[in-house]
Amino acid sequence: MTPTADLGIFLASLAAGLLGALAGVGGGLLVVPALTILFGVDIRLAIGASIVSVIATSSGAAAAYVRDRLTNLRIGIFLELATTSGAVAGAVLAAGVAPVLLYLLLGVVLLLSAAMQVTRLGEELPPSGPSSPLAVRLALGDSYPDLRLRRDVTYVPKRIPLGFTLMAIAGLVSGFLGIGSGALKVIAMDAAMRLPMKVSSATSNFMIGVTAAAWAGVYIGRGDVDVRIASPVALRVLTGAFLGARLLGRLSNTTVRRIFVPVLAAIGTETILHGLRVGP
Amino acid sequence: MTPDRFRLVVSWVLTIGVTLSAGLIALGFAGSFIVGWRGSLLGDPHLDTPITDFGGLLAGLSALRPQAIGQLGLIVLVATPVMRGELAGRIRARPGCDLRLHHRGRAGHPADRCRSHPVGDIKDAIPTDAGAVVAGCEAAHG
Repeated sequence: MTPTADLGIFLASLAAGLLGALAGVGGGLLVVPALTILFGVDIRLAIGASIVSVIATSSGAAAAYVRDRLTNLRIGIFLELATTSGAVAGAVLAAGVAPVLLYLLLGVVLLLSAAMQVTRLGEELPPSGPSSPLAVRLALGDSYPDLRLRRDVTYVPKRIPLGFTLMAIAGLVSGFLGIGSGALKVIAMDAAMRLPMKVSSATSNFMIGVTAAAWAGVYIGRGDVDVRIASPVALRVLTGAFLGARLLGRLSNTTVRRIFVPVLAAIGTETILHGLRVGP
Repeated sequence: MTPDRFRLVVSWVLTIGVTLSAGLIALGFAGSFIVGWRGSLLGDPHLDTPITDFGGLLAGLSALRPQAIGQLGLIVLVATPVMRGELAGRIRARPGCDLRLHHRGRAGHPADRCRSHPVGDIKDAIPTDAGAVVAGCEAAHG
């Protein structure tokens, strides 16, 4: 282990926590390549550490987001029904589907979503319009205190069935590929349900921990979690997540989207490379 | 339980879980510098089981092995979102609990709004001002 590699993994873990907390994604994007390339860690152990880092990001950031009312608990719990069902179905059906095709398909979807997000870069809040009757029936609307706009922002989600379906697909992908699919969750809430970007990110953060915890149990059982690797990564990711959680409330929704789009594009590219077995 | 209290409880569960796990992981990490991951702070002989094996956790903890302390920290971390989900499910399953939107600004405490709009009445739940919050009706119906 060289000091340069040590510094690299320190920065990568910190950045993973920070970006994960801000963008509502797990952060495995940075952790896995850093561990495999800089440290030469076995890919199995790197993914095991990455799963732990997703939980660290989720729990570390969500504690603050829930307290500060950025997380919509009701939507999060409601959509967890879809992601959990999808994940179980994905895990059951995984044996019959070629993962390469799924990786490629997911990568293309993420890249297309990133391209679509570019057209909305300047959108601070979703345009007002008629709310979904289902959202009213389930009382999914809420408000959050926006420190940047210096007022409470009230919102009611739209297109609930579409959002629920996308969440089920996100869960299915999680079950198939063993990933958190936080990016898909943010897209479902932001693009389909038209929640404010910060709420989408915070609620995704709240949700990804549960999916990752289920996978972590599998990885621990398989002997893929090495305490020597996962421990320092978890501590650094937690630090990054705390910093990210303090930042998110102060950022504008457009800034969060500007952070999310390149992260989304990077995840999409990495997913395609993984499907083509080029990357780690 | 009011929605604000529900939020607070969920936030506290996450905070306690993360703090506890970070403390344990840091303790294991610090211990590894003293006796190594496989060593024992009580001076017991080094382990020869795989480092990825969580099976000897209890025995490792009784010997104060950094490996076991770190593994316990990771398990607490993994269990934190599970505990949060379990807690949310239990609270929501309690009789009379109906999380919905209410106007804090006009009706005072969310529980007061609950009394005037019992379970089943959803029309007034649509937020029209900035004071809308999710309210749990259990307190109001209790």
